[in-house]
Amino acid sequence: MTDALSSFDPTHVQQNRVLTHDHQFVCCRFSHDGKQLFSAGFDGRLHRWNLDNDQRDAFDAHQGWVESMQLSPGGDRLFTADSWGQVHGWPTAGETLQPLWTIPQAHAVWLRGLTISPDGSQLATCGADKMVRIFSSQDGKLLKELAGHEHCVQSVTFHQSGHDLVSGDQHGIVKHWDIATGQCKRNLDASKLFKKYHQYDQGGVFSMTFDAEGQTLYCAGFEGRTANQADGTPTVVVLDWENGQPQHLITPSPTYKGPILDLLFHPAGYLIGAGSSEAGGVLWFWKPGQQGEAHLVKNETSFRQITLRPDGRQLAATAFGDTVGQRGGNGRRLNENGEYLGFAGNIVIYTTAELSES
Amino acid sequence: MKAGRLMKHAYACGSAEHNVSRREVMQMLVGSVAGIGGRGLLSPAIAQQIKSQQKRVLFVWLDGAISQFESWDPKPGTQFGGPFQAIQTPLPGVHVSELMPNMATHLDRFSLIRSMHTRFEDHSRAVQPIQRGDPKNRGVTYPLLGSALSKLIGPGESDLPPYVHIKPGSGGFHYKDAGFLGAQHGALALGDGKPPANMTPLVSISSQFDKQRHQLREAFNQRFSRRRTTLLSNAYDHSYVIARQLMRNAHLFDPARLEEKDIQRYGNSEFGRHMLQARRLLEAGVMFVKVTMYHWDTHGDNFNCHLDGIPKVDKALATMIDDLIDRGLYDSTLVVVLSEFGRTPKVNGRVGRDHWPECWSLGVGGCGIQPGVIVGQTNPKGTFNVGKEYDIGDLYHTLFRALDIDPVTTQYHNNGQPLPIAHDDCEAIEELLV
Repeated sequence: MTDALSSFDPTHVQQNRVLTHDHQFVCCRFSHDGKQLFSAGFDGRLHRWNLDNDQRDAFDAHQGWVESMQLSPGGDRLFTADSWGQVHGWPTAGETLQPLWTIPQAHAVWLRGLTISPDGSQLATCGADKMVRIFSSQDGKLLKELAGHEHCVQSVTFHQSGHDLVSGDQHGIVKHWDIATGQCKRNLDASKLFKKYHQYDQGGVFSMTFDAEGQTLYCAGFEGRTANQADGTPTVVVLDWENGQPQHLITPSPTYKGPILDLLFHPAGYLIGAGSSEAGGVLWFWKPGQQGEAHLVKNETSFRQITLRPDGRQLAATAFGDTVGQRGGNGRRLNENGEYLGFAGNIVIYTTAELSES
Repeated sequence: MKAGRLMKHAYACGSAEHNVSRREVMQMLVGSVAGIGGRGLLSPAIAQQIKSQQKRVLFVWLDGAISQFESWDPKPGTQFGGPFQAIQTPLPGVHVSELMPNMATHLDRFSLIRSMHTRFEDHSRAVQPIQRGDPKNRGVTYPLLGSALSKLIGPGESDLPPYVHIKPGSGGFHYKDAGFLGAQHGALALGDGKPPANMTPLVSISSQFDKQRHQLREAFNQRFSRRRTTLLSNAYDHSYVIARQLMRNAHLFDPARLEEKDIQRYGNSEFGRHMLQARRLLEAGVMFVKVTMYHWDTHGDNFNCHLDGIPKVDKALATMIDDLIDRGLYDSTLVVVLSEFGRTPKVNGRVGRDHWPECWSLGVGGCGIQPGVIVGQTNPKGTFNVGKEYDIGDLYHTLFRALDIDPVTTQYHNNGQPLPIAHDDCEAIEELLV
């Protein structure tokens, strides 16, 4: 790790710029060299931004919403998955991008998550059909089907060892899978993130990440409050990986009511969470072992997902693009031309360390 | 003379001569109609015929407003379509959300209106007008549909109140539903589908003693009401009538009588159990059963909520239709499924949808309704209607006509004031009617 990254101070995180599109984004990933940014969301297209000039081109890719994307460790492949269950493997280079292979339907109902193994050889997906599936990243071939969840599976991630996979569902059940055998080794308890509100199941595990040592699992969501308002206390359940027991909860400032939708670790050891609320979005920075958050960055609109540039010097967050629409609006709202338009989508790029000339 | 024809318009004028109950009709029929058995009772075939001719209504109220995108009018793969796909129905070119696989196969027995366009965009101003048919303002409080039909059709065969409301939370007697019609047409609300507590008579009170004390209570109340009577006092008095009806029919609420397979068929959810209870009451002859499901106001987390809630509605509704058909009751039971408006095409910053009265959908089927009809359409993005739109008054004209009630000529009489039963300027949706 470079000196710039090891001396990372979240209080020095600065907004670099905002990329805007007329459709909402859900996910994004930097290219390996950090010069491009891939994004996708509600319009089903794969967008590629040139970060030198913010120019964008777009490729027809999916139907439904693009829920997740992953970059291969070497950066030569990009993988995208949509809510209809379709998964594409793409090259990242080339003037025009076309999928190298396609999984027509990885899940029968609402694909929710996509992750890539540490060595880049496998992809794992999860969905509302209560299934977790593992595919080859080379050709999309199905390798394993993991059954056992009784509720919609909302997130999935590999352990650094490459031998284990975890999946989190709407009831806060986290299943630990042995990839080689496809067997569930144990259930972990993140049920703090689930609430039954009248007849509705609310919350669940929206995102998970391991710390750098692979000794602690962080599960993000919220402790729900009111049905159908996506409010409640943003919460991270911290689980000891060895004994599987909950260690503690991270519950940021009570000012914000809404879920933490995404988590990742900065190379400097900070856990970063991206939150959504009626009051807007928040990036929280926590240093494990320290009380409270080290820093928070507010945004006028909610965040969805976050990603780090491979060198850790920039962070990009997909965000809702309209401050008025952030809080909703009933009834007919037409623009000055009498048109009913959808809300825009933003990608907010932050600088986390001094950018090198290269 | 058919019992059903005697009921037509009988209550609309409000005169005492026409205030004949179906029970009294059946009593009159005894001994005078061919088909009666030797013991002076109606033959099973005739009884079944009368039972199947009695009009019933199942009114499913999805409070807070479901999203038409995630139910009856999906727009998959479009700007506002959301994450879900659509699935084919038996009707060529017609799809519903993938969250409704059961109703998708039932759409040849059920119909939809996809081009509703109503006035109100917030709950407080919409819920009551929608449930009252939004008639013209004439300075009176119009009844909710259940109360209206309690007046226009009358009670069923069950010796139960004509209008029963199954809902989560608390129950009670909702006399205000009846508006100017009077407390006797209010709704008996069953909190969580259960009857009120203390339904079992005390063993120390004989039926003879109970009858006597009831007569004493009625005597005092009649004396009281000669001098002063209010809506509240009528409601209070009527609640005793209801209580006695419930006590005589306690078996209808006994959970031990439910078969586990039925509980599973309706879906082991609160709504499923309530729909199963509704079926029991409809079978027993209750004229109007409303089943309410709350918390559809998905300003946030719309898609997870619909992923959770719509399948519950889908399963229970399809099962109900199947059961009504199996029991020979579907042709005499009007099924209505609606909310107070729809939800916005735009997805807001909390991944929710807001209120949208501009174009929304509802479902109808059964008695008097042509099955497999899709009325109206929305544009490809689902933002606005294309072609003819319908207001809630048009729906109510249609519902009344489906029940053989003429909404144009039938009137209430409120202290001498004639009042139309539906909005004057609206009309029935003819293509929906048999």
